[in-house]
Amino acid sequence: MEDKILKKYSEDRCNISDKYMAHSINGEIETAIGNIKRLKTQLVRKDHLDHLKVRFGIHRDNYHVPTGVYAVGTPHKESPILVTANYKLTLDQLRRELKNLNLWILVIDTKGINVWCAAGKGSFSAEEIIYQVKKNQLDELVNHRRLILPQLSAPGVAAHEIFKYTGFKGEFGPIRASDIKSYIENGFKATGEMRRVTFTLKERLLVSPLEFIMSMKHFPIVLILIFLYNLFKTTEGLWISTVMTAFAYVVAIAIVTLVLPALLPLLPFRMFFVKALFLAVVWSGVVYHFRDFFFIYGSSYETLGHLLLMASIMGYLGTNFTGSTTFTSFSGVQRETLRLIPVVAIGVLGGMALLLLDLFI
Amino acid sequence: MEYMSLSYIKGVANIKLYPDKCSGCGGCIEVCPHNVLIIEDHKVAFLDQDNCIECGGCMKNCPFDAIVVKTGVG
Repeated sequence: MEDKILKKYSEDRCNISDKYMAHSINGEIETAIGNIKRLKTQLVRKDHLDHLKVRFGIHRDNYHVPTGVYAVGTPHKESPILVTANYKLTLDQLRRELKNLNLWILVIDTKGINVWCAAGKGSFSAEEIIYQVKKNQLDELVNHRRLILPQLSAPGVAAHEIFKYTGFKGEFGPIRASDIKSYIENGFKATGEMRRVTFTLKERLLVSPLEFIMSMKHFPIVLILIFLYNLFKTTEGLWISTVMTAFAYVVAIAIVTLVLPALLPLLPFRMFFVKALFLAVVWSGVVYHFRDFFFIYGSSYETLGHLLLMASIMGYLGTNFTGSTTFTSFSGVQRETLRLIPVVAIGVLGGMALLLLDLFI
Repeated sequence: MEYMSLSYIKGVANIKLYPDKCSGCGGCIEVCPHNVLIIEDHKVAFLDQDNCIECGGCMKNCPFDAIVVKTGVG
């Protein structure tokens, strides 16, 4: 543990630019350890724009905020200290819930990653907290010895270690920033509900646009393959047939990345790829019915070939979505992946074979 | 209430309890986001093992090594 803390001193990146934070700061307050920036608790238009960009995958891996202590309201020597990650989206979610409260926020270096993911990967850790507590002289800043940690940092933080090295007692607060006010009013006690992670419709719809956009990153390959395939078949109506067939694939991807998350609890089966295949069957019916519209009416081989390929992509993306959920386990995903691989292999090879067969008969 | 209907594959969660090492402090209950554990007769026990997502928060915060979780990525 000592080695890990010492290593922090050589790794510290003090020079994180505050360009993402400047508009979120509302003056400074004087303290025993120098001037400390005060965070606004009201988000401004730029913040909302940043959030929108993050949700649509623009620039989302580069929203580091500078580490250190920030003030909320007019804190003093007895005010509580909240610990959080140095991801802008995280800090914004937190500060907007702290209106009319007076407290300190300790932002630690999680490499610009949110609390839960950083804890899972080890950067939201006891050694990082210990390092920041010492570096920022929290023992001079406050009289009490209590740090409030986000509950979802627990996979990365052994709270008892913090006490051993700093004298500060790490206590796990609620999961959601919106519960912090009641947690404090409740005498620093979290209710059972505050301790349960959710995955509500709203939360699912927040992650799904990014899911769609990330999935579309490799779409040009699909487009080129469809184009080449159509090129071999006929040059007549090449562009329109390529565009319409590709459109069927885009909708297939949209269904599994947008509709599947929305309907998640309503879809039958537990494994995500089976849920996705359930939707694939529905979509196949639609595509089959409108096969003229999608220009995949060459022969039943061609139609079936495309439907198998679409279903395979949907199955794969279904399992892929487990990574964005709050209730799937690694062992479960492992089990599901073992089932998924043969299904996708058969679907892809079978689909391609049927399409090729169609070219040669 | 809605999220209650969200449950994943049963019988796979890789989490083991060693109640003889448990002091009954309840630190694990506090950090568990899925209500997996309970303290019974001052020892840790399962309330619903199938809810476990293997995040490892309980293991990390057990000073007595009474819980072992095989954690994955993320």
